[in-house]
Amino acid sequence: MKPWVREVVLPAAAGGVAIASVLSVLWLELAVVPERRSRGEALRADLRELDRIAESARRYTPHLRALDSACAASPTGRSPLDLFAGAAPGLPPPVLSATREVALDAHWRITQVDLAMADVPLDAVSAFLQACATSRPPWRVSALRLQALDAGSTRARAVLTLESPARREEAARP
Amino acid sequence: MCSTISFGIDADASGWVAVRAERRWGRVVSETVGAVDADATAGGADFAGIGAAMSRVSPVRRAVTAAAPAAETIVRRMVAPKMGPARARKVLVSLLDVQLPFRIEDCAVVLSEWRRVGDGTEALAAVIRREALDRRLAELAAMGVAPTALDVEAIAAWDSACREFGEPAPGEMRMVVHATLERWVCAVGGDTGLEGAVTVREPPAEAHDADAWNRADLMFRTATAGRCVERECWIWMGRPAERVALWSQTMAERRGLGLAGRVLISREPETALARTLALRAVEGKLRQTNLLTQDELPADVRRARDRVAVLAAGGLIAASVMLLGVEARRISTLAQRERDWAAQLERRAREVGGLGRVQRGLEVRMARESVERQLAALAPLDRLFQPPQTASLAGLLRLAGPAQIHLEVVELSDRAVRLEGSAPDRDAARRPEEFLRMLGYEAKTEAGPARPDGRTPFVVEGTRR
Repeated sequence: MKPWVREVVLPAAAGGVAIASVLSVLWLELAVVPERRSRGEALRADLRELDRIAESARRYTPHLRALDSACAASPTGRSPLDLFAGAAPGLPPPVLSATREVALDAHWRITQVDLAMADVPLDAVSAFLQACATSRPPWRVSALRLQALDAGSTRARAVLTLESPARREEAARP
Repeated sequence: MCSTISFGIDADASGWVAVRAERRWGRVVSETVGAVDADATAGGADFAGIGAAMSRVSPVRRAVTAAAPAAETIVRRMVAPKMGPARARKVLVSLLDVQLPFRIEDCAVVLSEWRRVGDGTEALAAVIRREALDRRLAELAAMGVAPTALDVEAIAAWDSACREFGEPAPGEMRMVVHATLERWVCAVGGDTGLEGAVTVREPPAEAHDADAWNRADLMFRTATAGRCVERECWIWMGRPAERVALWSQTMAERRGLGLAGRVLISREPETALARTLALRAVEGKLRQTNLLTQDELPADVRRARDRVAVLAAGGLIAASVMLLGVEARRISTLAQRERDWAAQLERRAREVGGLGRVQRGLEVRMARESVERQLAALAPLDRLFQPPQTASLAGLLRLAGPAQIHLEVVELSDRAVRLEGSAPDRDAARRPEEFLRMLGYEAKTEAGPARPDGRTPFVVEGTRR
């Protein structure tokens, strides 16, 4: 081997490769690796954010569980007219003025019913409300208007709004 | 890297001395490995053992240094005015060329001891004809020595004196004489360093050899002519030792050195030059003064150096490639992890949002919007778990009876309340308002003037806080 090959070419080639390699590694470390790392960090931050979202999505889980247990015994509840007939036998049934349904999710909905009673004893109203509260699933009174029809307030005109949860396929119909 | 094991060979027709030097734990150590006088060297048989010892050292580590023939070497300090070392390197060779009686292309030239003098550059030049070098190599080969370097003898002798006795004092002229029965080599210089060299080819063997002494005297006077000398210092080394002592004493007497001069003899005069040759190779000082080119190295040393160079270059290239490979693998791992996280993100977004598919980059947003829609749909559930208005009504009725409040209209909802009725007096008319405040309503009572039956009509309106 010529001395200039040994002393110039080989060291220059090896040095060139080494310098190129070191420069490449430096470039990768300074340009590519931080970018990859930041992308990874962003993905992990997104995963943590998804965990938080999943946590908030479980906000109504206890409510739905309570509904499940409340409806477990009697999946199909009684209608308000049935309840009225049971609580105030012999009295004319209330007038059903409107029925609305609000979907909660794939399994549950809320049924809202407006009832009007032109002249009804207050005791019968009280018994009907008691029957609504204790039925399963319960009918909740969300609004009511009572207007006394006599001085002693024994009879009244009543307008009630009741609502009750129901399974979408097994919902109780009024 | 293995350290160099160096052999310094001081050899001429009068005999030879070999010294081995090596760097151990950061210190350079040397030992004399052989010395033979003229009679015993006949045929070179005694050198065979040293040659074998040298050949046992790996060619990569082995350095064998001998001195070039001093009688055929020109040593001269030269100055290239008004230029730096880079340009002076070319100019000094040209200046040297015109001063030589032969073509510079036929010579080996070394320039050493570079230094700036004013605005110029000074260097110590040593020149020898290549045919003289070849003759010297042939002589050494006949002895069984294959040198890897040929040093300038005068420079080595001067270096040896400086190692042992220190640098010359200011104003002192130093004569370092390496003397053998074959020749005397005298390096001449001062406090600025070595300036030149003279060689006495047929030196006086005895004190009474007047002709030879006169010749030697003449050469020394020629070498020191024109110098303003405050003090002379003669340093002697060479072999045999007893002759060196005799020569130094005779020279001192002949030159009449009194208080203005001193004569010193090396502690180990016979091995001083060989030791210096060996040490200079180990310490790297020889690089500037080596008269041999790479082409003139022994074949085994050349091959070994080639192999080392190839291995070193290959190793460096392999290490570089490996470094790149490691980095590439690292980045590949990062990319794989990123892909895993992206897949996990997509799966989780579909799972959290209850979505069939999600768009890349919008996973979190789509999941959030889906969950918000679900939560908005489920919001009425909150109302279902509020206490029913029945409780409020029952409370109002319980309040009305004992207080003799007649409620004529009762309107209750989750958000608002309105009562109409009459009370026995204005104070009683305010009691429903107080009750509603306890239930969490912002309520306000408007009581009218007392009616003819003495009762006070009132209207209470409130909203849920």
